[in-house]
Amino acid sequence: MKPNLSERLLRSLCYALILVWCCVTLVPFVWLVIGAFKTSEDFFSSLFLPAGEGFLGIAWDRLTWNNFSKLFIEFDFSNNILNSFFIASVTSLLSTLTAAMGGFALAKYNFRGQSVITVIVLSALVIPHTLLIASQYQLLHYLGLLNSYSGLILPALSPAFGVFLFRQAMLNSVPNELLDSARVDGCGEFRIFFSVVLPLVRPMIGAYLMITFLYAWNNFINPQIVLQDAEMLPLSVAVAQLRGLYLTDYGMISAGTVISILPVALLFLLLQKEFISGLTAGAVKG
Amino acid sequence: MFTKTLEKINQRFSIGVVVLLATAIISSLFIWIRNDASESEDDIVIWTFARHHLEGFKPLIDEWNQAVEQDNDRFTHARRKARMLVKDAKTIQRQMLSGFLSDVPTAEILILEGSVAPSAWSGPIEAAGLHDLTPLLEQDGLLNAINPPSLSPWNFQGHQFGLPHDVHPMLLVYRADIIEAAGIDVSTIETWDDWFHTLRPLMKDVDGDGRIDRYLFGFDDVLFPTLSCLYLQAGGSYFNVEGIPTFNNPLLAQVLAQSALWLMKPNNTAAIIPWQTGTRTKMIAEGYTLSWLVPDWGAASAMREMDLMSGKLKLMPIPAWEPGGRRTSVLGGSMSGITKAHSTTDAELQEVWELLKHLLMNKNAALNQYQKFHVISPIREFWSDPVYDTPIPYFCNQPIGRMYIEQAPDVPLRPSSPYANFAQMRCGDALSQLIQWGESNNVTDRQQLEAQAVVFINDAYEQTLDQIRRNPFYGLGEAE
Amino acid sequence: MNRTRIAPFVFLTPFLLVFATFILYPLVQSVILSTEQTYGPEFTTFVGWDNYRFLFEDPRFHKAFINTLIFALGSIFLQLPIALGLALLLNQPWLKGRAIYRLIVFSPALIGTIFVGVLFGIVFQKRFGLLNQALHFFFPIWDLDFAWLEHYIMPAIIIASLWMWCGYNMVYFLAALQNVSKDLLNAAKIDGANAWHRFIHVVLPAIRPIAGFIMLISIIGSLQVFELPYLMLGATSGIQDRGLTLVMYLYQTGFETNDLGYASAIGWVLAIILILLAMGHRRLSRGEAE
Repeated sequence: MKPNLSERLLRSLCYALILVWCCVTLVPFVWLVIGAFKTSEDFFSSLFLPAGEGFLGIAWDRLTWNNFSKLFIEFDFSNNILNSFFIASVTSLLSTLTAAMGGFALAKYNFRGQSVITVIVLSALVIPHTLLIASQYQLLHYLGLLNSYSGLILPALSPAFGVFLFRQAMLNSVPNELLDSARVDGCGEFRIFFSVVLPLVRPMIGAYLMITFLYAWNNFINPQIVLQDAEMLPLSVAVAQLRGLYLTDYGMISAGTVISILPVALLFLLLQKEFISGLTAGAVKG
Repeated sequence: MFTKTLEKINQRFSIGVVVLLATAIISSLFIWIRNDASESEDDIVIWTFARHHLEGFKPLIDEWNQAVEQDNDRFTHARRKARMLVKDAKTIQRQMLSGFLSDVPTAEILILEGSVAPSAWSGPIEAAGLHDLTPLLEQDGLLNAINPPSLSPWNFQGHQFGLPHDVHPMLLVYRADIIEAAGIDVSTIETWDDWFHTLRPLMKDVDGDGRIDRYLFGFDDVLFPTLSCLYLQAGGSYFNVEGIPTFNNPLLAQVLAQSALWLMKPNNTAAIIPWQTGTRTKMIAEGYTLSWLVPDWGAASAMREMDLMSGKLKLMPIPAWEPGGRRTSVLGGSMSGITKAHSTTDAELQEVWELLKHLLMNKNAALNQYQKFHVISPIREFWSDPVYDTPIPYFCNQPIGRMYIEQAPDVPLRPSSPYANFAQMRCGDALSQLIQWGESNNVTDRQQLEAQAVVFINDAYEQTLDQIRRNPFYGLGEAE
Repeated sequence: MNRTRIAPFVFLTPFLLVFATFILYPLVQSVILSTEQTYGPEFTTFVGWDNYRFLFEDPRFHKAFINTLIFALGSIFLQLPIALGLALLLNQPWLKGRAIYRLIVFSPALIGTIFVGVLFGIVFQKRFGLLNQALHFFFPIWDLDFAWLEHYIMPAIIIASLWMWCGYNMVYFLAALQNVSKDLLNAAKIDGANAWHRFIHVVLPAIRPIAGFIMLISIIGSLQVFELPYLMLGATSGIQDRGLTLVMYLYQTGFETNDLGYASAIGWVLAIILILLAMGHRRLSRGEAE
């Protein structure tokens, strides 16, 4: 049915609003990307592109790849990128697995102490993390986990939020009858978990992977505390350290940030559909 | 078999998951293969918060490591290698404190930034995690080699907890192009009153929008750094040597009142400029302020970030508060200290001390530091080197090194209490409150402002005392 | 069967182990810490309720509390309606290029907080900051010298946070909207209800549960705001503590003034507030489900 005039007006209005919002959102990005190509002298001389005698009144020749090359040559950026990939991917995969297992246990079984544990999980959601940093640091030392990737990854494996999301997802999407018939067929519990349950909550897996990957990728406080060797530091810390004492090279920070955004943006595109439908499956019903 | 498993996986998991799994596996392999250089547990580790320390000290550390490898006699005590690690200043603070409070390891040499360092002695003195360097300084006869006021921020109750990296004297930088074009000779100006009086005619509305766009002096927008500089210049101090706050005095009230008079709208003669760079550069370029205070490293920052001001700026000693008064102040600074936890035996301590001396008292490194960042070394015998006299084209060929060095012995002593930062920020609040009070009550009388300033200062003082009172261990010595 | 009895415990073991070690243990420690003044195990004194008593009279704590409250309320009442609006817009079936728009709207959440802090520290500057320039351009009466980061810090942070997290919340709302029963919507259309009526009477009730959940998560998150203002204000709390938030105060006390006991007390007061909120939410949503 072809839209009538008032509907078309409404649609144009909608498009206009969306475009306005997208522009507002994108302006800082544009600034960021342009900044990555500016030298430090030029960085604040003009708002976006440096003015000059080039095409359209812009000094195209003053834009440079220097910031990027410096990052890889003078700083250890390729190593930092490798570290970030490692930490973020391993953390997100293990964290998702732990959360899915925990959510499964709480959703599809009845056992003594279930409500106690559920309350514990829920309360873990409301504890301010900053409260625990000091004690956690000492604890890591006593366990010998300082200056190792395990010290970063292990504490992330108690994801209360994740357990909560997966519990909701499984309550909604995993029918008990399916589980029972699998058991009757002689499947072990683990086999059921991996072959039956996980595929059913596939969207939630995608969603939670995205959330944890993003958080681990951008986290710059924890790695600085736990890791002592410069070689092990991830991108987030490397970019944070670009802020100097006497001098801050904004061009390099922009370049570093641009590099840092590309992988997560790619991941978002890959997981987009599931990210959204996964949260549907986790919709709270009270 | 393999393709079958691959298909099975593909059916169950989305492409995103597959990509992540692949990433995890591949990156793990790379990391496993990567030869994480066997960082010897034995090394002398140095933590610093500034990248340029890493670059600046690298040749010196290489020299040391070479001596260790070749086992030559360049250094008497060198046995272990050294390496330097860069961390964020606040992270060092946190890890340092954790290290002092428990047995979590820290580095052996800590390079600490000015606002972070005093945390190291925030508890009982004997629990301070840094060595008192006084006996070492005396042993090597170095107490006189270092500019005395530069030792003060790192000295608490007579214990010298760190060696200074710098002096950081301050000068006033001004728009020579505008001021000289108006026929004003700044060498005739001696006091702050002179400055504001003489330059008054230069305040004007430049872009015709009905508001003044040109002010005579710039205050940082967080207020307390500039306030501290002015107060210290006037001879004030925040704490005494015992660590007791002393800023509850008439001098601070006077400085506060004068600053408020300068800043209160609608007749303000001074402007507030952003502390962070960026729009600060633009504002200065547009002549929003004709002068501001700049430490030695600030001169280098200006040169790097404000290219368009080349040839337009000049430096001069800060106008005094009264004729014959002090014409400089101080801002910021770093120190290096030796942690007790590692250097327990005398032999270890001597070794680390030698390394420290090598890093901080090396003439080449100091002169290099000047050329790159215009930072003046605190070692007095280096001051005679001609490199400090080099005319700097950016500042109209002034020999800025020499100008800063002339002020170096006059640099005011500074508080070294862990509550210093807190106190300074509360005083900044007091100034802000005074300005608000003056503006809303339309008060321009100096006496009244001073009286009201006392009220706000008292409040800041009480808050600081409250903080200190809650700490039962502050400044306790063995006697107690 | 035996299997189903031990299985849940096996599944829960990794989570519970890590939880007990890295969360429960430090948590208990922090309770003890909040009753002490300490400088290491050798120099620790028990002070009972002293830390808490100081807290209730501490003017800085009051400021932090009010600032945080303003931020939380501002965020909820500004961010969530906009997020919902965006979700509604981006859910229209006739919209072309939805995936791209969604990516764009979500993308600010991908940038690390450091750069956002640096970025907005510059955006909010007087005179030459992006925001003042833009506002002055569209509304020439806008004062170019409007000092966001001196007098209106919390509004500035609300705006920055809006830019950064709105897309995130929008995704949650999108998920909720896709859950609304199409049959119900069609029935309403046939009954002659226009778009606005459909929204009020079909969509809103259907997304109530998840909207409540999003509100709870948002409040919990925004009451803990710290990194963004801290970075925007250059590691300070702003003039007269106008940018001081609860977690920032906790951090400053615990790690800058090194007063771990007091910091733990602040943390616990915050935790209790959050627990009460969560309990309140549970009671409300349970009440509705019946």
